[in-house]
Amino acid sequence: MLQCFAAPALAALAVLPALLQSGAPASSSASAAQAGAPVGKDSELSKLGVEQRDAAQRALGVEDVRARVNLASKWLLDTQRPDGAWGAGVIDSVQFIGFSVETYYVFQYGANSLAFMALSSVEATPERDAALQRSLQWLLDARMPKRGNDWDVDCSWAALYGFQAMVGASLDARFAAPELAERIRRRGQELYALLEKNQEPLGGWGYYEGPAVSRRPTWSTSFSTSCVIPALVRAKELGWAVDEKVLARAVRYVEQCKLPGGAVMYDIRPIPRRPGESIDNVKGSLGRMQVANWALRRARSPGVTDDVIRAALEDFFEHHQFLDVARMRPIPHEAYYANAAYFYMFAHCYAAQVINELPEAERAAWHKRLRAHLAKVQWDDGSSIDFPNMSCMRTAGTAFSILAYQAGVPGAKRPL
Amino acid sequence: MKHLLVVPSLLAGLALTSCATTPSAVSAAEAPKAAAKSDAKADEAAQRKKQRDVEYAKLALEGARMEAESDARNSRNAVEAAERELRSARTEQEHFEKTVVPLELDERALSVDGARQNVAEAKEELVELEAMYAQEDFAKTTKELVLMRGRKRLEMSERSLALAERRALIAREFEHKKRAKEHAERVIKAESGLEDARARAKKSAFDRQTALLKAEHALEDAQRALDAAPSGA
Repeated sequence: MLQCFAAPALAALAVLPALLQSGAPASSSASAAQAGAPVGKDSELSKLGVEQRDAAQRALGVEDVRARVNLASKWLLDTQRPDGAWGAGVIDSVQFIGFSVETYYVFQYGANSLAFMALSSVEATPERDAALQRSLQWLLDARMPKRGNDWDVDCSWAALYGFQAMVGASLDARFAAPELAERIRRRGQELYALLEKNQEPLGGWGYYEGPAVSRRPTWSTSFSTSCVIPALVRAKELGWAVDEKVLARAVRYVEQCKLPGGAVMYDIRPIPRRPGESIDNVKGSLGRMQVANWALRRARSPGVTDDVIRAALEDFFEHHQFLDVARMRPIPHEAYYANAAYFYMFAHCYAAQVINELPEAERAAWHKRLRAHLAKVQWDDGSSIDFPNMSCMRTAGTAFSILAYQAGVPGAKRPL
Repeated sequence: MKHLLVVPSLLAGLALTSCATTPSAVSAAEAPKAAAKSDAKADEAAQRKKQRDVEYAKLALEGARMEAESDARNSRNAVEAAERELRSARTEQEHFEKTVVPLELDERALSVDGARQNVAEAKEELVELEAMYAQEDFAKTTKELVLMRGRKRLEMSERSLALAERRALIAREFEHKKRAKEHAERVIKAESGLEDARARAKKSAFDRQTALLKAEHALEDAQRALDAAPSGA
């Protein structure tokens, strides 16, 4: 985790001015700073508490959602490169100086996988289908990610989201032509092999090395592990060669990360972190609680009942200001309960997914509450971002927002 | 300075007196008269010497007084320095006994407790990790790498605890006793030093009085010798 905390704040100072010129949402830290408002954590938290209530009252209807999804999709289409990719596989933020060179590429691959899934979930148009085809081709043709160095195992992000994208593509009728379907399956199996190779002994997937440097990494996190479990379940159902034990280990890992009270540990520890203002407090694990419940429910883990899901969602909305205040902060984990800026979009995406695990009759109300918090951070150009540095964060943030919105749109495709 | 100015004027006076007569003026017929003159010159010289002795005695008395003041000041300073050293030695001894020893013993105890807690945590973590790893026969080499770190961490923690306990024992049984003895010796030495300084001051005062008395007597003697000399010489 050292590297995670080593990323300096300076980069954000360079990036923020550019963001400020492109229609930042009213509640962002950036716009608060621009307006000369107090930006201390306490004053922001108080301000955001009020904004959170306002946002909940401004809940959007499904038609509003369609408009927002269209805007976000347009941003994806506008920013896609001719070769089908988004962003660049090179460093485009000084905040990531020091990472393995491979990491810039694997971040791009992961973000492109998310963008592909997001675009595949929206209503088809000829333009979108063409963009989707180009995106898929890029994901299929790009070289396989590799481990960056002794400590940097960020290739996991490419494997985790690339695999999900391939499973999603396999389930999409637009890509059912035999030859293409076979290529998708083959790439999916290659990414699965990377997952299998890097599954740590306790069963999770991480992105940095742990206590001992070894060929198989020795550290993992609950949220990275959770995010891929449903795709593994679906891949097995598709008949892909997924080892039952790999899945079982991952499920057990996430089960063991759950703490009494509902919080989900950041990473599994033989002895949990001390209580207090810890990342493993409920207020520090609002997003992890959703993704873990979603993953375990999809894997039919017996402990995740509807009541467990509801309680976690209530916690999510009750303590939402801890995600708000962390969003756009340039230093990872600098906010209360060690929340990091990049928890925001991830958390909302998986809150939307786990809502759909509840009885159908109650989903709409939850989605209504959720989408208010997506809308308030969406920029005028349709994009969304929570962590201001590399371009892939904007691609991923926008994709997360689309996937979250679409989860609440009746009849929408759900590639996750 | 008065005495220094008196001496040259006397010498000048004597020089002028010697120029008053010349050998070429003396004749054989006047021999008795010449002899008388010669006696007068000798008397004058003796008178001059007595006058000088008085002046020298005055100067010596002044010097003795200055010397006495200097000695008195030195003795006073030496006694005060010895008193300060004794106060300092006693304060440090008290500080060591009442503050330093309990503080250092508490620090050592905390160090031992911390090391003991580290051992307990290392042991707990290792046991938990072994139990978690034992759930499935998978990734044996990687598990062994991690477990080795855990076992070594426990071993190092146990060695750290042993070191902390030894350090506490050494502090309690040797270092504190040694330093207590050093403080006690410093107090004794300071007490002796003060006694010596006071004795030296007393002896010095006595010597000063004697030296002054001698100088005063010498002046009196010189003055008396001068006064006793024939006035017509």
